[in-house]
Amino acid sequence: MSYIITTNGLCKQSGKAMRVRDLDLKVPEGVVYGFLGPNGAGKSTTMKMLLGLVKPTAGTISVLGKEVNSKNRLSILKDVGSLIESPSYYAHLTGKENLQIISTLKGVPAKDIDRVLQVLRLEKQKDKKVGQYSLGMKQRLGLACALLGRPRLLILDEPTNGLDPAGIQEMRDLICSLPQKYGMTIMVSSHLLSEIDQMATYAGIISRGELVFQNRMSCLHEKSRSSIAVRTLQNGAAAKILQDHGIGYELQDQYLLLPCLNDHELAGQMGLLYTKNIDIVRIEERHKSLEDIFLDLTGKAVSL
Amino acid sequence: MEFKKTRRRNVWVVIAAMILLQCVWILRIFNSADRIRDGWMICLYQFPLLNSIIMPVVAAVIASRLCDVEHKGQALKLLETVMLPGKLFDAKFLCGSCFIFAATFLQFLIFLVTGYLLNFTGPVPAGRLFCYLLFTATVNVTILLFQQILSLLFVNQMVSLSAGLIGALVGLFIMFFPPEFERLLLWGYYGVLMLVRMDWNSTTRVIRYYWITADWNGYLTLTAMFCVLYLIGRMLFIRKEI
Repeated sequence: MSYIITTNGLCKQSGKAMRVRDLDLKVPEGVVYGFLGPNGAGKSTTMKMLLGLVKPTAGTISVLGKEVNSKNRLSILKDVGSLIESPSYYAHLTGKENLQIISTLKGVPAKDIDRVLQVLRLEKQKDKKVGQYSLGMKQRLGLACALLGRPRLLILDEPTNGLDPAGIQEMRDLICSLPQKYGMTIMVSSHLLSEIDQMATYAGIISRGELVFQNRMSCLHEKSRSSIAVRTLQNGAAAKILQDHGIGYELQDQYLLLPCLNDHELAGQMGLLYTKNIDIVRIEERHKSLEDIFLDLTGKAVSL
Repeated sequence: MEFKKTRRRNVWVVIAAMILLQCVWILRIFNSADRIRDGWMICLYQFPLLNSIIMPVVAAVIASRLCDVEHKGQALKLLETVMLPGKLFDAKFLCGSCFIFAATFLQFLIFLVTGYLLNFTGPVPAGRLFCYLLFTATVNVTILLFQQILSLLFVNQMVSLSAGLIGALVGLFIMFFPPEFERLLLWGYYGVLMLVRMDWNSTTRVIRYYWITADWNGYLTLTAMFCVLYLIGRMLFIRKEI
């Protein structure tokens, strides 16, 4: 598998705080890579380092197969589009004038402006001053700037921030369609697990500046497993009986968590408890959600 | 490209306001035949005084208008992925310099036209006028550079605008201090590079203007200050993380 972005031991220290620590990213080509982490985990800093906007304290970065340094940074970034945190724009100029400035600086032919305006459905607003745009339109303009020149790699930092549900849906659909339509690789960050779940095929999870997971999304899903929660009036005795019959358990909030048993096995075990005069008051099937896994990985209950 | 970004930013309005103010000032000065006799000297004395008050503010406003657009729309994080920060600094400075040169040249034109219309006595001091143009443009551009550095490094434009206002006051009051003090600050160079001095006799209450030789050492010091400021400002901007 070829990787479009790789980092080795990437670190960023600000003052005494280590904002990114020994990050080894591997972003495969042609996928939507979700970069997930709680607020302040180091997502934006990492993305800024990839773009050369922030200098790493240590480590190396390779983008499009080339190790990035101050000399080749701009030539590599010609094939990279970016939208970091919030869209960049000149509020006193029209949407089209904004795109003309970026296309001239990127050395992209003027006809590409019409293409990106069409892709982002901004044709009707192109002659309006950007200061009068809604946040959703500004975000689309930011993405239009990133798409100028058909880059091979898009780096999008929280592109759905501040959008309404319809805007989020629209942005998500657009991001998902880009790899198939134009063969692009997209690295998209978010603090919302559900969002990454709907967009990405690969994911990297960062917590307190450290990468705690990196693999296919399907691997993350495999980690989510079901369990049977049983509550009795004599949990201690019930646990002993189940253990004697080879059933593992975990005690959590006055519930005995059993592995996912099939219906017959469960009926047998519950019948056994009944015959031993154990009063069963609750039986529930529990599913470990991606959020739970995320919290397990990041190790803290933060606002997602 | 930088000129494209200044569309609808009304930078020319600032220059037009400055020119208008100077026109009013010059009309106020030349209200007697005595003054028309010493016309060229009075112009070359009054304009640097006027410049020391107005030009730091004009430079601060121009630099702020040019740099504020990048901060307001958070454009630097996009621009620096498509161009080198050093080149952006150079382009901004070139654009600002064009406005400052235009303002300096228009001001020069005003006093040439005034001289011809009011028929100033004596031959046109072409050499001194050229020196004045060169000196004024250099001081203006150096102050613009200082203002641009502040405007690019600080998101809050009140920092650079306040520096411009303070500079204007310092530039004026430092002329009343010994000449050595004038050389320490950028704004003092309007006074250092003056070509005319005034002698006021307190008993007769008569003002006499007289020519002095151009202070080329002062000009060289200013040029050196410009170079050092450019290198430091550019380096600080390049090193600034977004």
